[in-house]
Amino acid sequence: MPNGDRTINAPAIPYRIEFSRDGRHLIAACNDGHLRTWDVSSGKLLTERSRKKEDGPAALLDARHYADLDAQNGIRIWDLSSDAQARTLYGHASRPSRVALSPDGQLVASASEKETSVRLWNASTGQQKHLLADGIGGVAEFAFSPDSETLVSTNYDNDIRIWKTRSGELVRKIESMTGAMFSAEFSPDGKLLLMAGLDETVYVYDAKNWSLLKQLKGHGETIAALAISPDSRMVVTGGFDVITVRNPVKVVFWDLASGKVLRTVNSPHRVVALAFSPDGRWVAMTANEKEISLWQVPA
Amino acid sequence: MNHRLPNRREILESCISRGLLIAGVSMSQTGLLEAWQQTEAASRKPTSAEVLGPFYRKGASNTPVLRAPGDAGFPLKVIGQVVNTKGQRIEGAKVELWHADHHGRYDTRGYKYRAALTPDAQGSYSVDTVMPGHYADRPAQHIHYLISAPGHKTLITQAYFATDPFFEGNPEKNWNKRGIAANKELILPVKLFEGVGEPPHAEIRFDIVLENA
Repeated sequence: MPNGDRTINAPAIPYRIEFSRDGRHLIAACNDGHLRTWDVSSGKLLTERSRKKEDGPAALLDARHYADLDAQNGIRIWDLSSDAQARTLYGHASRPSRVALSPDGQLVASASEKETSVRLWNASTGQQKHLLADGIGGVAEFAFSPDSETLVSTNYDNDIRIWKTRSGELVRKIESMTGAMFSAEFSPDGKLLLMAGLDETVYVYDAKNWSLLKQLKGHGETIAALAISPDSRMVVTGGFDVITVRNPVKVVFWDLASGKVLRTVNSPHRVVALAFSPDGRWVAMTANEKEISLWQVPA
Repeated sequence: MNHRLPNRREILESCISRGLLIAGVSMSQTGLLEAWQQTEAASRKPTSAEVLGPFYRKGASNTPVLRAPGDAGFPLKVIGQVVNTKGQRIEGAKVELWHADHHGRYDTRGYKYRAALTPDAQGSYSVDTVMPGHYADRPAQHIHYLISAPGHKTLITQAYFATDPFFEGNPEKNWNKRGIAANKELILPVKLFEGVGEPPHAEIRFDIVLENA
């Protein structure tokens, strides 16, 4: 059985995926270190940005940028369209494990598993802007608000921290979680913050006052990834079998207002990444296979 | 004939009496013995750190019995002491530990095989549990630890088993296989007890040394 209503084949396993702004292309960083772009309607591989093996894995930051590391724990930010290297961010004493770029492209957030702080950088100058005290377990996920004014970190020690990116002020620390949140995302309208992870629940927070609005229960597995539809009305969650990434899991489409499950499909392995197409009609998924699965979003 | 091995104090006393340990400055034999012992105790190396991993859950109970009757897996007792680098007991320490069940699965819905222990007046802790299973993505058996105490650096680490087939019967040689264990000292010898009238069980001792904050 094919994995997906449509499947795009890949020469290597794609990790994080992004749709181009016009929705015509899919971009992915793959496990062979290369970055590839496909045409969504034909499934044809369009471009391949080759990288040297010794440069290690690349992390896709958005549809136009990716990051990798140099030997001095510096974070190199690259522009995909021009192949040009923008900046290298120096300051980490140990290997960075998480990097995120703000939606306006002006800020980079980074963290290392062995450090207990988050670094916020000016992406244009490469200067460190803020050193933010974080938890002891390492960052599981970053989320920037759509206006780039707010940064969220979810830590493996279970706590959530929310900062103002301009001042570096910690505006809220959520200490009520009893499991790490592996995925966090703001709704595109900026009104909600959604998080999900170890305890199989989707937490929906008000992104103004940080109160918990609702919980979506019923995925029935630890949740590895989530994505919110462009109209902010739907969320899709991807599972994670805690024994092995190779066991099959579920992908669940939820209506955010009613909390109802709209569609459930299967993934052959732990879901690595999910992304809605800009028109909201498709969800692209990667799951440790040499392919990108495309699922039709229920009407 | 007495085959008991001499303890450290007896060895040092013997060395002093034979002229093998001599004070460089004017010092009584008792003073010399104390000074030597204090210096040795003061040099206890902090326990090596490892990463927390994705399966930690806040909110476990202070309960030393994690194994229920009929649980799959070999019964295991874990004992140890939490001390500072001078070898002294630490006030207010908390030992959180968690591990996979016999089948290699972590309890993500509840708190099975998870504890948050308060060590006793001597700084000792113990739990009754089962040997953790292997799971495909992390093939060495291990117990996760998070140890915190006021005035000390919080330590995240893991305990491994010298008997684990992963180390191929030779942890001395294979301790760093696939970069799994941060330090050889984290791979602990396993004692087997076969008491009369009670089922056999394994025991490991994991002493933890915390650094000052």
